[in-house]
Amino acid sequence: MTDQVSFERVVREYGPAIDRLAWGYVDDAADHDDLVQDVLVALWRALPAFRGEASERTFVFRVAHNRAFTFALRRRRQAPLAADERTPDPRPGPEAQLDAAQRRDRLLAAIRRLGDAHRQAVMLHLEGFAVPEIAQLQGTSENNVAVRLTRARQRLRALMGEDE
Amino acid sequence: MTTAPDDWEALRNSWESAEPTAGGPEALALVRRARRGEAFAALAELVLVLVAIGGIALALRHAADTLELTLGVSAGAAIVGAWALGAITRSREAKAVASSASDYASALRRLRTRQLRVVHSTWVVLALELVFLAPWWAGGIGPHRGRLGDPVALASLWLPLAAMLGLAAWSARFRRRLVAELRRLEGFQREMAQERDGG
Repeated sequence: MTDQVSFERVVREYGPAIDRLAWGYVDDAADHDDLVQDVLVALWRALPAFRGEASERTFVFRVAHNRAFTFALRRRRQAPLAADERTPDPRPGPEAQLDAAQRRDRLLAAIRRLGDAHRQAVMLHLEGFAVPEIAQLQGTSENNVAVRLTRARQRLRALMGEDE
Repeated sequence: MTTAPDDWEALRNSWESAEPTAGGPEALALVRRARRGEAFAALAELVLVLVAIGGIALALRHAADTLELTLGVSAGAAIVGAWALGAITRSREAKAVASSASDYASALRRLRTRQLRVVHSTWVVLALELVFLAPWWAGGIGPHRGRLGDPVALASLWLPLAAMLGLAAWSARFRRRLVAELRRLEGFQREMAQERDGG
Protein backbone atom coordinates (compact mmCIF):
# COMPACT_ATOMS: atom_id res chain seq x y z
CA MET A 1 0.00 0.00 0.00
CA THR A 2 2.83 2.38 0.93
CA ASP A 3 4.57 1.51 -2.34
CA GLN A 4 1.39 2.31 -4.24
CA VAL A 5 1.00 5.69 -2.51
CA SER A 6 4.65 6.53 -3.10
CA PHE A 7 4.40 5.52 -6.75
CA GLU A 8 1.31 7.69 -7.27
CA ARG A 9 3.11 10.66 -5.75
CA VAL A 10 6.15 10.06 -7.98
CA VAL A 11 3.94 9.85 -11.07
CA ARG A 12 2.16 13.08 -10.12
CA GLU A 13 5.42 14.87 -9.38
CA TYR A 14 7.55 13.65 -12.26
CA GLY A 15 4.90 12.77 -14.86
CA PRO A 16 5.28 16.04 -16.82
CA ALA A 17 9.09 15.65 -16.88
CA ILE A 18 8.78 12.03 -18.06
CA ASP A 19 6.41 13.23 -20.76
CA ARG A 20 8.97 15.81 -21.97
CA LEU A 21 11.80 13.28 -21.75
CA ALA A 22 9.89 10.83 -23.96
CA TRP A 23 9.53 13.45 -26.70
CA GLY A 24 13.32 13.82 -26.65
CA TYR A 25 13.65 10.17 -27.67
CA VAL A 26 10.76 9.56 -30.07
CA ASP A 27 8.85 11.72 -32.54
CA ASP A 28 5.74 9.61 -32.96
CA ALA A 29 2.71 9.92 -30.65
CA ALA A 30 2.15 6.15 -30.39
CA ASP A 31 5.84 5.52 -29.63
CA HIS A 32 5.72 8.36 -27.11
CA ASP A 33 2.82 6.76 -25.23
CA ASP A 34 4.53 3.35 -25.31
CA LEU A 35 7.73 4.87 -23.96
CA VAL A 36 5.95 6.76 -21.16
CA GLN A 37 4.21 3.52 -20.20
CA ASP A 38 7.54 1.63 -20.26
CA VAL A 39 9.19 4.23 -18.03
CA LEU A 40 6.31 4.25 -15.55
CA VAL A 41 6.32 0.45 -15.30
CA ALA A 42 10.12 0.47 -14.82
CA LEU A 43 9.69 3.04 -12.04
CA TRP A 44 6.94 0.99 -10.41
CA ARG A 45 9.34 -1.95 -10.31
CA ALA A 46 12.43 0.02 -9.29
CA LEU A 47 10.97 2.25 -6.57
CA PRO A 48 10.84 -0.42 -3.82
CA ALA A 49 14.63 -0.79 -4.24
CA PHE A 50 15.22 2.95 -3.71
CA ARG A 51 17.29 3.35 -0.53
CA GLY A 52 18.06 7.04 -0.74
CA GLU A 53 21.68 6.72 -1.96
CA ALA A 54 20.90 9.57 -4.36
CA SER A 55 18.03 12.08 -4.32
CA GLU A 56 14.63 10.74 -5.40
CA ARG A 57 14.74 13.05 -8.42
CA THR A 58 18.10 11.66 -9.53
CA PHE A 59 16.81 8.10 -9.05
CA VAL A 60 13.66 8.77 -11.09
CA PHE A 61 15.60 10.39 -13.94
CA ARG A 62 18.18 7.59 -13.94
CA VAL A 63 15.48 4.97 -14.38
CA ALA A 64 13.61 7.09 -16.93
CA HIS A 65 16.64 7.83 -19.11
CA ASN A 66 17.98 4.28 -18.95
CA ARG A 67 14.61 2.85 -19.88
CA ALA A 68 14.18 5.40 -22.68
CA PHE A 69 17.67 4.56 -23.96
CA THR A 70 16.74 0.85 -24.18
CA PHE A 71 13.48 1.78 -25.92
CA ALA A 72 15.36 3.92 -28.45
CA LEU A 73 17.87 1.09 -29.05
CA ARG A 74 15.04 -0.96 -30.47
CA ARG A 75 13.60 1.85 -32.54
CA ARG A 76 16.65 2.98 -34.45
CA ARG A 77 14.83 4.94 -37.11
CA GLN A 78 15.20 8.68 -36.86
CA ALA A 79 13.07 11.00 -38.93
CA PRO A 80 15.17 13.49 -40.88
CA LEU A 81 14.72 17.11 -39.98
CA ALA A 82 12.04 18.70 -42.12
CA ALA A 83 13.04 21.81 -44.05
CA ASP A 84 11.22 24.10 -41.61
CA GLU A 85 12.98 22.38 -38.73
CA ARG A 86 16.43 23.01 -40.20
CA THR A 87 15.90 26.66 -40.99
CA PRO A 88 13.76 28.68 -38.63
CA ASP A 89 11.32 31.11 -40.13
CA PRO A 90 12.72 34.57 -39.26
CA ARG A 91 9.28 36.22 -39.49
CA PRO A 92 7.23 36.41 -36.32
CA GLY A 93 4.31 33.98 -36.45
CA PRO A 94 0.72 35.17 -36.59
CA GLU A 95 0.16 33.84 -33.09
CA ALA A 96 2.70 33.76 -30.31
CA GLN A 97 1.43 30.37 -29.17
CA LEU A 98 2.00 28.81 -32.56
CA ASP A 99 5.46 30.32 -32.67
CA ALA A 100 6.31 28.83 -29.27
CA ALA A 101 5.05 25.42 -30.37
CA GLN A 102 7.18 25.64 -33.52
CA ARG A 103 10.24 26.59 -31.47
CA ARG A 104 9.64 23.67 -29.15
CA ASP A 105 9.17 21.24 -32.05
CA ARG A 106 12.38 22.49 -33.59
CA LEU A 107 14.21 22.04 -30.29
CA LEU A 108 12.87 18.49 -29.82
CA ALA A 109 13.75 17.52 -33.39
CA ALA A 110 17.29 18.83 -32.83
CA ILE A 111 17.62 17.02 -29.48
CA ARG A 112 16.58 13.76 -31.13
CA ARG A 113 19.40 14.21 -33.64
CA LEU A 114 22.09 14.43 -30.94
CA GLY A 115 24.24 11.48 -29.93
CA ASP A 116 22.89 9.48 -26.98
CA ALA A 117 25.25 10.87 -24.33
CA HIS A 118 24.81 14.48 -25.53
CA ARG A 119 21.04 14.13 -25.76
CA GLN A 120 20.82 12.79 -22.24
CA ALA A 121 23.02 15.57 -20.81
CA VAL A 122 21.02 18.26 -22.64
CA MET A 123 17.65 17.00 -21.46
CA LEU A 124 18.86 16.75 -17.86
CA HIS A 125 20.29 20.27 -18.06
CA LEU A 126 17.01 21.59 -19.47
CA GLU A 127 15.20 19.88 -16.58
CA GLY A 128 17.31 21.99 -14.24
CA PHE A 129 19.92 19.44 -13.16
CA ALA A 130 23.26 20.97 -12.21
CA VAL A 131 26.51 19.69 -13.74
CA PRO A 132 27.50 17.61 -10.64
CA GLU A 133 24.07 15.93 -10.65
CA ILE A 134 24.34 15.11 -14.37
CA ALA A 135 27.82 13.70 -13.74
CA GLN A 136 26.39 11.43 -11.03
CA LEU A 137 23.53 10.37 -13.29
CA GLN A 138 25.76 9.61 -16.25
CA GLY A 139 28.54 8.04 -14.19
CA THR A 140 31.22 10.45 -15.37
CA SER A 141 33.18 13.49 -14.14
CA GLU A 142 31.84 17.04 -13.87
CA ASN A 143 34.46 18.22 -16.34
CA ASN A 144 33.26 15.70 -18.94
CA VAL A 145 29.68 16.85 -18.49
CA ALA A 146 30.67 20.50 -18.93
CA VAL A 147 32.52 19.64 -22.17
CA ARG A 148 29.58 17.53 -23.31
CA LEU A 149 27.10 20.35 -22.69
CA THR A 150 29.21 22.91 -24.52
CA ARG A 151 29.56 20.65 -27.56
CA ALA A 152 25.89 19.68 -27.45
CA ARG A 153 24.88 23.35 -27.34
CA GLN A 154 27.03 24.05 -30.42
CA ARG A 155 25.44 21.13 -32.24
CA LEU A 156 21.94 22.25 -31.23
CA ARG A 157 22.70 25.71 -32.53
CA ALA A 158 23.75 24.26 -35.88
CA LEU A 159 20.77 21.92 -36.09
CA MET A 160 18.30 24.65 -35.20
CA GLY A 161 19.89 27.13 -37.59
CA GLU A 162 20.57 29.65 -34.84
CA ASP A 163 23.00 32.48 -35.41
CA GLU A 164 26.38 32.03 -33.70
CA MET B 1 34.82 24.71 -18.58
CA THR B 2 31.23 25.88 -18.14
CA THR B 3 28.35 26.88 -20.34
CA ALA B 4 26.83 30.34 -20.13
CA PRO B 5 23.55 30.09 -18.18
CA ASP B 6 21.75 32.65 -20.41
CA ASP B 7 22.60 30.55 -23.43
CA TRP B 8 20.32 27.82 -22.15
CA GLU B 9 17.49 29.98 -20.81
CA ALA B 10 15.63 30.36 -24.12
CA LEU B 11 15.93 26.63 -24.76
CA ARG B 12 14.66 25.86 -21.27
CA ASN B 13 11.59 28.07 -21.87
CA SER B 14 10.81 26.18 -25.08
CA TRP B 15 11.45 22.85 -23.36
CA GLU B 16 9.00 23.58 -20.56
CA SER B 17 6.34 25.16 -22.74
CA ALA B 18 4.56 21.92 -23.65
CA GLU B 19 1.30 20.78 -22.13
CA PRO B 20 2.20 17.55 -20.33
CA THR B 21 0.01 14.51 -20.86
CA ALA B 22 1.60 12.13 -18.33
CA GLY B 23 1.23 12.48 -14.58
CA GLY B 24 -2.54 12.41 -14.21
CA PRO B 25 -4.84 9.57 -13.17
CA GLU B 26 -4.71 8.24 -16.74
CA ALA B 27 -0.98 7.55 -16.24
CA LEU B 28 -1.78 5.34 -13.25
CA ALA B 29 -4.46 3.54 -15.26
CA LEU B 30 -1.88 3.08 -18.01
CA VAL B 31 0.55 1.45 -15.58
CA ARG B 32 -2.16 -0.81 -14.12
CA ARG B 33 -3.08 -1.91 -17.65
CA ALA B 34 0.57 -2.52 -18.55
CA ARG B 35 1.11 -4.51 -15.34
CA ARG B 36 -1.94 -6.65 -16.10
CA GLY B 37 -0.66 -7.20 -19.65
CA GLU B 38 2.78 -8.16 -18.34
CA ALA B 39 1.34 -10.58 -15.77
CA PHE B 40 -0.83 -12.17 -18.45
CA ALA B 41 2.14 -12.50 -20.84
CA ALA B 42 4.30 -14.06 -18.10
CA LEU B 43 1.51 -16.50 -17.23
CA ALA B 44 0.93 -17.39 -20.90
CA GLU B 45 4.69 -17.98 -21.32
CA LEU B 46 4.78 -20.23 -18.25
CA VAL B 47 1.72 -22.21 -19.42
CA LEU B 48 3.29 -22.63 -22.86
CA VAL B 49 6.52 -23.95 -21.34
CA LEU B 50 4.63 -26.32 -19.01
CA VAL B 51 2.46 -27.63 -21.87
CA ALA B 52 5.55 -28.17 -24.05
CA ILE B 53 7.41 -29.97 -21.23
CA GLY B 54 4.28 -31.99 -20.39
CA GLY B 55 3.90 -33.05 -24.02
CA ILE B 56 7.52 -34.16 -24.18
CA ALA B 57 7.20 -36.03 -20.85
CA LEU B 58 4.13 -37.89 -22.14
CA ALA B 59 5.89 -38.78 -25.37
CA LEU B 60 8.96 -39.98 -23.47
CA ARG B 61 6.85 -42.61 -21.68
CA HIS B 62 6.59 -44.31 -25.07
CA ALA B 63 10.20 -43.73 -26.15
CA ALA B 64 11.32 -46.68 -28.25
CA ASP B 65 15.05 -46.44 -27.51
CA THR B 66 17.77 -44.42 -25.77
CA LEU B 67 18.16 -42.15 -28.81
CA GLU B 68 14.53 -41.02 -28.66
CA LEU B 69 14.82 -40.59 -24.90
CA THR B 70 17.96 -38.45 -25.28
CA LEU B 71 16.35 -36.33 -28.02
CA GLY B 72 13.27 -35.75 -25.87
CA VAL B 73 15.24 -34.82 -22.78
CA SER B 74 17.46 -32.46 -24.84
CA ALA B 75 14.40 -30.74 -26.35
CA GLY B 76 12.87 -30.35 -22.87
CA ALA B 77 16.11 -28.96 -21.45
CA ALA B 78 16.41 -26.51 -24.37
CA ILE B 79 12.86 -25.24 -23.77
CA VAL B 80 13.46 -24.71 -20.04
CA GLY B 81 16.87 -23.17 -20.76
CA ALA B 82 15.45 -20.67 -23.27
CA TRP B 83 12.68 -19.70 -20.85
CA ALA B 84 15.10 -19.33 -17.91
CA LEU B 85 17.54 -17.28 -20.01
CA GLY B 86 14.76 -14.90 -21.04
CA ALA B 87 13.65 -14.50 -17.42
CA ILE B 88 17.21 -13.95 -16.14
CA THR B 89 17.95 -11.38 -18.87
CA ARG B 90 14.77 -9.43 -18.06
CA SER B 91 15.50 -9.54 -14.34
CA ARG B 92 19.13 -8.36 -14.73
CA GLU B 93 18.06 -5.58 -17.08
CA ALA B 94 15.43 -4.46 -14.57
CA LYS B 95 17.97 -4.49 -11.72
CA ALA B 96 20.49 -2.44 -13.72
CA VAL B 97 17.96 0.23 -14.71
CA ALA B 98 18.59 2.30 -11.57
CA SER B 99 22.37 2.53 -12.13
CA SER B 100 24.25 5.37 -13.81
CA ALA B 101 24.03 5.67 -17.61
CA SER B 102 27.54 4.32 -18.19
CA ASP B 103 27.05 1.36 -15.81
CA TYR B 104 23.68 0.64 -17.41
CA ALA B 105 25.22 0.67 -20.90
CA SER B 106 27.95 -1.74 -19.72
CA ALA B 107 25.35 -4.07 -18.17
CA LEU B 108 23.23 -3.98 -21.35
CA ARG B 109 26.29 -4.69 -23.46
CA ARG B 110 27.18 -7.73 -21.33
CA LEU B 111 23.61 -9.05 -21.58
CA ARG B 112 23.37 -8.51 -25.35
CA THR B 113 26.78 -10.15 -25.89
CA ARG B 114 25.60 -13.16 -23.88
CA GLN B 115 22.39 -13.34 -25.92
CA LEU B 116 24.44 -13.15 -29.10
CA ARG B 117 26.52 -16.09 -27.88
CA VAL B 118 23.33 -18.08 -27.30
CA VAL B 119 22.18 -17.32 -30.87
CA HIS B 120 25.52 -18.58 -32.19
CA SER B 121 25.22 -21.78 -30.13
CA THR B 122 21.71 -22.23 -31.56
CA TRP B 123 23.23 -22.19 -35.03
CA VAL B 124 25.84 -24.78 -34.00
CA VAL B 125 23.06 -27.01 -32.61
CA LEU B 126 21.00 -26.55 -35.80
CA ALA B 127 23.99 -27.46 -37.96
CA LEU B 128 24.73 -30.58 -35.86
CA GLU B 129 21.06 -31.59 -36.04
CA LEU B 130 21.19 -31.26 -39.82
CA VAL B 131 24.33 -33.42 -39.90
CA PHE B 132 22.44 -36.08 -37.99
CA LEU B 133 19.01 -35.72 -39.62
CA ALA B 134 19.94 -35.16 -43.29
CA PRO B 135 21.29 -38.73 -43.86
CA TRP B 136 18.35 -40.11 -41.86
CA TRP B 137 15.88 -38.17 -44.03
CA ALA B 138 17.74 -39.12 -47.22
CA GLY B 139 17.62 -42.78 -46.20
CA GLY B 140 13.89 -42.58 -45.47
CA ILE B 141 12.81 -40.82 -48.66
CA GLY B 142 13.56 -43.91 -50.79
CA PRO B 143 11.34 -46.43 -48.96
CA HIS B 144 8.62 -43.78 -48.33
CA ARG B 145 8.59 -42.43 -51.90
CA GLY B 146 5.10 -41.35 -52.86
CA ARG B 147 4.02 -41.20 -49.20
CA LEU B 148 5.66 -37.89 -48.21
CA GLY B 149 2.28 -36.49 -47.17
CA ASP B 150 1.38 -39.20 -44.68
CA PRO B 151 1.46 -38.63 -40.86
CA VAL B 152 4.80 -40.42 -40.39
CA ALA B 153 6.51 -38.18 -42.96
CA LEU B 154 4.80 -35.15 -41.43
CA ALA B 155 6.09 -35.97 -37.93
CA SER B 156 9.57 -37.11 -38.89
CA LEU B 157 10.42 -34.85 -41.84
CA TRP B 158 8.23 -31.81 -42.44
CA LEU B 159 7.56 -30.81 -38.82
CA PRO B 160 11.23 -30.91 -37.68
CA LEU B 161 12.29 -29.22 -40.91
CA ALA B 162 9.74 -26.43 -40.45
CA ALA B 163 10.77 -26.02 -36.79
CA MET B 164 14.45 -25.82 -37.73
CA LEU B 165 13.81 -23.31 -40.53
CA GLY B 166 11.60 -21.25 -38.22
CA LEU B 167 14.27 -21.25 -35.51
CA ALA B 168 16.97 -20.31 -38.04
CA ALA B 169 14.88 -17.41 -39.39
CA TRP B 170 13.96 -16.17 -35.90
CA SER B 171 17.55 -16.40 -34.65
CA ALA B 172 18.86 -14.55 -37.73
CA ARG B 173 16.37 -11.74 -37.09
CA PHE B 174 17.19 -11.68 -33.38
CA ARG B 175 20.90 -11.59 -34.14
CA ARG B 176 20.41 -8.61 -36.49
CA ARG B 177 18.62 -6.76 -33.69
CA LEU B 178 21.30 -7.66 -31.14
CA VAL B 179 24.14 -6.57 -33.43
CA ALA B 180 22.38 -3.24 -34.11
CA GLU B 181 21.86 -2.69 -30.38
CA LEU B 182 25.46 -3.59 -29.60
CA ARG B 183 26.72 -1.14 -32.25
CA ARG B 184 24.66 1.64 -30.72
CA LEU B 185 25.81 0.73 -27.21
CA GLU B 186 29.43 0.83 -28.42
CA GLY B 187 28.70 4.23 -29.99
CA PHE B 188 27.27 5.48 -26.70
CA GLN B 189 30.29 4.27 -24.74
CA ARG B 190 32.63 5.79 -27.34
CA GLU B 191 30.76 9.08 -27.07
CA MET B 192 31.11 8.97 -23.27
CA ALA B 193 34.84 8.16 -23.54
CA GLN B 194 35.54 10.92 -26.10
CA GLU B 195 35.01 13.70 -23.57
CA ARG B 196 36.83 11.69 -20.92
CA ASP B 197 39.85 11.48 -23.21
CA GLY B 198 39.44 15.06 -24.34
CA GLY B 199 38.72 13.93 -27.92
